[in-house]
Amino acid sequence: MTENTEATWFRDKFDAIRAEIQKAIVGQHEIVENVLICLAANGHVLLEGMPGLGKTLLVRTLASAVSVDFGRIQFTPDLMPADVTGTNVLSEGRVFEFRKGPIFANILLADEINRATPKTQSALLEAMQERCVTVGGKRHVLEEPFLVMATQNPIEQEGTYPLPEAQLDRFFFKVLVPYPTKEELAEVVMRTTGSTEAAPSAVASREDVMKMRSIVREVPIAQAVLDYALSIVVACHPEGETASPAARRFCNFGPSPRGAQSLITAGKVHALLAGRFNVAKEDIRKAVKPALRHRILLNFEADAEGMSADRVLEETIAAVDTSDRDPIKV
Amino acid sequence: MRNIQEDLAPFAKRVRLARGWRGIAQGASAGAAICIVWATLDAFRLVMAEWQWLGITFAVCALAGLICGFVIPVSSKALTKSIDRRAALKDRLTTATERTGESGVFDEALQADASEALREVSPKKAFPLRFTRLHGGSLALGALAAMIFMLGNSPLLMSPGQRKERDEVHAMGEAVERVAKEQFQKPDSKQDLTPEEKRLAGDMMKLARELERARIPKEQALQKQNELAQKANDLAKQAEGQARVDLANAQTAEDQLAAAASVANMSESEKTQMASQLSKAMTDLQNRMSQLQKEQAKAREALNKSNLSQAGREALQRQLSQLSQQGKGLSSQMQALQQKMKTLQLSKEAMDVFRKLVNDPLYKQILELQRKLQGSMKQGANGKMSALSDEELKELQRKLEALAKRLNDPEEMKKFLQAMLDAAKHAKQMGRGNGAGLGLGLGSGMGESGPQGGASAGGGPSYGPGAPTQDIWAGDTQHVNKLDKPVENRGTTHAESITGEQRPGDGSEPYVEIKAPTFVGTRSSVPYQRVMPSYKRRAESALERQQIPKKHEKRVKEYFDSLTGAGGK
Repeated sequence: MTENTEATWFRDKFDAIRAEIQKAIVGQHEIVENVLICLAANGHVLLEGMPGLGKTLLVRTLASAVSVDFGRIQFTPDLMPADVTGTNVLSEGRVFEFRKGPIFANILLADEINRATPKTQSALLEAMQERCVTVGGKRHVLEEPFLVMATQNPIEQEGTYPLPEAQLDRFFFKVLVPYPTKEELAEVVMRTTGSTEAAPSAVASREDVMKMRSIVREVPIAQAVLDYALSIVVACHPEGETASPAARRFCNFGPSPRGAQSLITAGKVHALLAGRFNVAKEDIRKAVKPALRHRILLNFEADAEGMSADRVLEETIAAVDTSDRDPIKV
Repeated sequence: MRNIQEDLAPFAKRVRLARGWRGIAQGASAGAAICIVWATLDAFRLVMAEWQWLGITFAVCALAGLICGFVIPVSSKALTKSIDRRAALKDRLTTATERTGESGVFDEALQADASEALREVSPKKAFPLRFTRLHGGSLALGALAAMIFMLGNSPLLMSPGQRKERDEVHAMGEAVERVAKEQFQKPDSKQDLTPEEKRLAGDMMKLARELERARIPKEQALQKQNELAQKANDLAKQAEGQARVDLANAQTAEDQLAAAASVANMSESEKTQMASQLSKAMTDLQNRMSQLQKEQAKAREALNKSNLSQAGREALQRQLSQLSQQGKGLSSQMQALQQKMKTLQLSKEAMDVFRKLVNDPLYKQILELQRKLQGSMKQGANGKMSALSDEELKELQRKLEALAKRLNDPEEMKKFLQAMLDAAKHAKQMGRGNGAGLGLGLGSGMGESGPQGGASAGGGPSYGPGAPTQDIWAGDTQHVNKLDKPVENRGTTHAESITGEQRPGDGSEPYVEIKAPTFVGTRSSVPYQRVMPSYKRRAESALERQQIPKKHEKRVKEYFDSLTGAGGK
C-alpha cells in the first residue's frame, strides 16, 4: 500500500486521540469519530442525546487527550451573554479591564445549549464563525484551535429555546448520541462502579491539532466527487430543479453553502482515515447525515408522517445515486 | 512510476470491444425490427422478401452495430470514472487523472496509489463480454421475424385453392428458371450476350424467383411472363432483322465475287464486247440524266411563274417530284454500271484469286451453310426453333476463318466473311430470343388454360404486320441477277410479284436495256426452269389484262424470252 508521511502521521494522531477517548467512553465509536472529525476539520459540533449518555464526558475527555484549554458553560435560562463572552470590570486600579468569559478556551463545552435564551445563544454566533468576540466595542480574538461542542437533549422541551437556523448552521456536525448497547452498558457500569477510574492522558498538542487541520485541507477531490456532493446539497433544496422527491415533499428549506463546505471537509477527513489520498463518493455519503441533518428544515407534512431529516437525506442520496450512472454502457 | 494513461490503454481497447459486442446486439435488434416489418409486409403480399435478404439485413445491421461500437472513441474521463465504479477504486483514478501534473502534498502518493490499484484490476473483469438481455432480445426479435416470414410463406395457412394456385405458380417459376438457364446461362453463350439479353435474363431470373416463392397471384404472374415473352420476341425480331441485313450484305458481297469470277471466265473478246455495251449504257444513262435535269429546270422555271393556277401549280409540283424519283433511279443504275465496269478492269491476279475462290470446296461448303442459315432463320421467323445448332454455327465460324486465311483476302471476301460472321452471331441471338419467347410462352400456358392457353396469345411468338413473311425468303432462293435491274447497295434481292398494276402519274419511266451474258447466281437450290413458267404465266396474264403500259409490253415479253433463252443455254 502506498504511504505518505503526512497522511500516516494524521491517521496515527487521530487514532491516538481516539484511543485515549475510548478509555473513558465505552462504545459510541461513530460519535467519537465524528467529534474528532470536527476537531480535525475545524468545525463545531452539536451533540444531541438523552441525558446521561456521556456527552459531557466525551468532550471533557477530548480536551484531556488533546491537552488544550477546556471551558464549560452550563446553559440555563438566566444565563446572560456576558456570562459567556466575558465582561469589562472595574479593577482595583479604577480601570475597566476585560475579564474573559468561559468562551476563551480551545474546547468549549456548551452544555444544554437550548436552555439558554436566544439572546445568550446568539453570543456564540460571532465566536463560532469569526473566532472572536466583541465586548464593549473591543474585539477579542479567540485562540486557535477553537471548538464549540454543544449538547442538547431532545426531550424536556418545556422551557427550552430551540436553536435558531442561523445558530444551527454554524455547527459543522450535528451528532446524535444513541443509547449504548447492552454490552457497552455493562462495560460502562463495570468501569464506573469499580475502584479505578480511567484517566486519559494527553496525546496531542494544540500544534498537532493545527497541523491536522492543515493536512486535511490538502486532500484532493475530483470534480466528479465534488459534483456529487453538490448534487446532494442541491437536491435537498425543495424549490430547486434537481430537488429529490423527498426534499420536495418534506422540506421547507435546504442546506446553506456551509453545508456543502462541511460535507467536503468531512469527506477529506474520512478519506485520510480510510488511508486514501483522495475524497471518494463514499466519504461524502458518510458525512451527509451529520453535516446536513441540522441544516434542512422539515415542514409540517414531515412531522405528520414521522419523517426525520435523516430519512429525507437517505432518500436524497438514493435519488442522486440513481442519476449518477456509469458513463460507459457495455 | 508508470503513467496512468499507459495503464489505461488496455482498458480502452477492452471498452471498444465490449462496446462492439453491445453494438452487435443493438444493431441486430434494429435489423431484426426491420426484418419483422419486412416479413410482415411480405406475409401480407405487399412487398417481396427473401430469406437471404432478411438474413443479410440482420447481419449487416449487427455488423454496423459492431463497427459503430468499436469505432466510437472512449474518453479518458469516462473511462476512469467507469473503472472507478466497476472496480470499486473509490474515485482514485478519476482524481489521479485530474491531478496529473499537480504537486500537492498528496499528489505523488495519489498517482502511485491509483496506479497500484489499477494494476490489480483486470480489463476483462472490469468490462466483461456478457450475454445481456439486449443480446437475448435481439435474438428473440430475429426469431420472431423468421417465424413471421415462415408463417407467411407456409402453405399450412392456405386454403386448398390457394395451395393449388401456389403449386402452379411455383411450377411456372421452375419453368421460367429452366428456360433462362438454357438460353442465357450456358458458359459459351454468356460471352455473346448483348446488354438487352442480359437484362432479359436478369428479369427472367427475378420472375422465376418470385414465382418459385409463389408470392404473386397467378394472373399477375401470367401477365409478367407475357411481358417477358414479348420482350424476348422483340429481341428475336431485332436480331433477325440484323441477321437479314448481314445476310443481304453477304449476298451482295457474294454477288460481286460471283460477278468477278464470271468475268474472270470470259474471253478477251467477250470482255471487250461487254465493256463496250456497258460504256454505251453508261452514255445512254448520262444522256437521260442530262435530259431529266433539263426537264426539271423547265418545270422549276414554270413553277416560278406567278400567273399559274392552283391546279397547275400542284401538277407541276407532282411532275417535279416524279422527275426527282426518276433521277434517283438513274443515279443508282449508273452506280451499278460503274461497279460492273470496275469489275471488268480488275487485274489478272485478282481475277485468278476470284476464280480460285469460287472453285474452293471450302467456299462451297460455306455457301451451303449460308443457305442453311437462311433456312434456319426462315424457320425462326415462323416461330420454330433454329435448324442450325450451336455446333453448326461454330463450324460455320471456324470455316469462315479458315477460308479467310487460305485466300488472299480480297476486299469483297472480307466483307462477305464479316457479314457471314455477323449473321451467325445474330442468328444465335435470334435463337436465344426465340427460345426464351417460346419457353415463356410454354410456361405461361400452364394452368387452367392448358398448354395453348390465353398466355400464349401474348407470350408466344406471335408476329404482327411488321414481321418477315415467307415471300421474302422464297425470293432469295430464286434470285436472278439481271444487269438491266439496278443492283442495290445492300444486296437485297427481294422478289416482287408482278401484279400488273399501273403506277399513277403520266411521267416517263426510265428503262435501260443491256444485251450481255446473264449473271446467274449460284445460290439457288430451286431449278430455274421450275419457277420460270409460273412467272411467265403471271406476266402474260398481266399483259392480257392490259395493266402494263403499251410501250412496255414488248419489253416484258422480251425479258421473259431472254430468260428462257438463258435457261436453255
